Amino acid sequence: MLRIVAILLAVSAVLLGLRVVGLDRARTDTDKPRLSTPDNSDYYMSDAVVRQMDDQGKLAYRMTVAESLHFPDDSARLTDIDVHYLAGTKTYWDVTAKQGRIPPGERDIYLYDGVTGRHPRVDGDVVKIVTDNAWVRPDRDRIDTQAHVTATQPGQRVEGDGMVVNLKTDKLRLLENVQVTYTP
Amino acid sequence: QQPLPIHIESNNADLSQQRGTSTYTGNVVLTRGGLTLTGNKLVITRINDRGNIKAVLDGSPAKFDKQPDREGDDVVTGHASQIEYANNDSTIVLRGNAVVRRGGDEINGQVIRHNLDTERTQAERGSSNNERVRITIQPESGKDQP
Repeated sequence: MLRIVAILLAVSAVLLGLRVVGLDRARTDTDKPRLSTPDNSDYYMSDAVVRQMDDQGKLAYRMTVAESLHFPDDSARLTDIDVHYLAGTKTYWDVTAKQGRIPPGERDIYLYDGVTGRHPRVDGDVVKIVTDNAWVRPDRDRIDTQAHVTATQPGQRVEGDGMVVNLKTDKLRLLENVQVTYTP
Repeated sequence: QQPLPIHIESNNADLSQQRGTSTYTGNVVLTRGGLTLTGNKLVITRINDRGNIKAVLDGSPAKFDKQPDREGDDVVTGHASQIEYANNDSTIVLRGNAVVRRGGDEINGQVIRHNLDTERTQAERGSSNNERVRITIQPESGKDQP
């Protein structure tokens, strides 16, 4: 779970990397017509697939982003984010969101417009978490939201308002109005 | 017959994926059929992967209220510092200044085990002398008057 955060950071790193490339090309191809970039972004990626290997060369995660735009104020906007994350977990996490944005100069990532997390437990039961939006805060090893959250797994349904996930301890805290049903 | 689900409400909750335990705090209410438990802090531990759980409820005090399954039976209530309940067993265990009441009868002890189905109740004393089991049985009204 901890490296789900790192994944989304990787996108920023990739975007920053492109910035350098973008500038160099602009200097050398001054006479060629500039490609237009969407929404006044200074550079963008579309249908990007990012694969990260771990130290043993195994797939740590794969992330696809339909479109990611970087802006001059150092903010970024992502569309259709889908992260399949393996490293550090006995099974995997699938995290998806329709939209995401990184505020200017920040490392926190705001995922919105439908955020889901799917995580098969070791015993095979799949935990599914659904909320409307969530902040991913890598520097604090934390994901949090004020929105309503529903978490389900076979035999158990949990709902509450507001959630904090501690990525280090893999603990999930629901902040208010908790309602749970255990069904044998 | 399909086993009854358990519903829990609380102010907030901490769910630990790794340890498979959930801790609910603040105005905790657990209901299952005619049984209601209320208290301040509830820890739920998964016993197996067939949805069986063990619940340990702390309160000041923790209370239980069991509505009768059959017409004419009595409501059974009780309270203690801590109440234990598992959904694969009909027994609840009350620990610490435990009291169980049914109709006009009352049992006091340090540990009381009450079977919700058979309504059989077993009480244990505490370690010190003034923690003996005390039982009060009310005469049926109208019968045994002198």
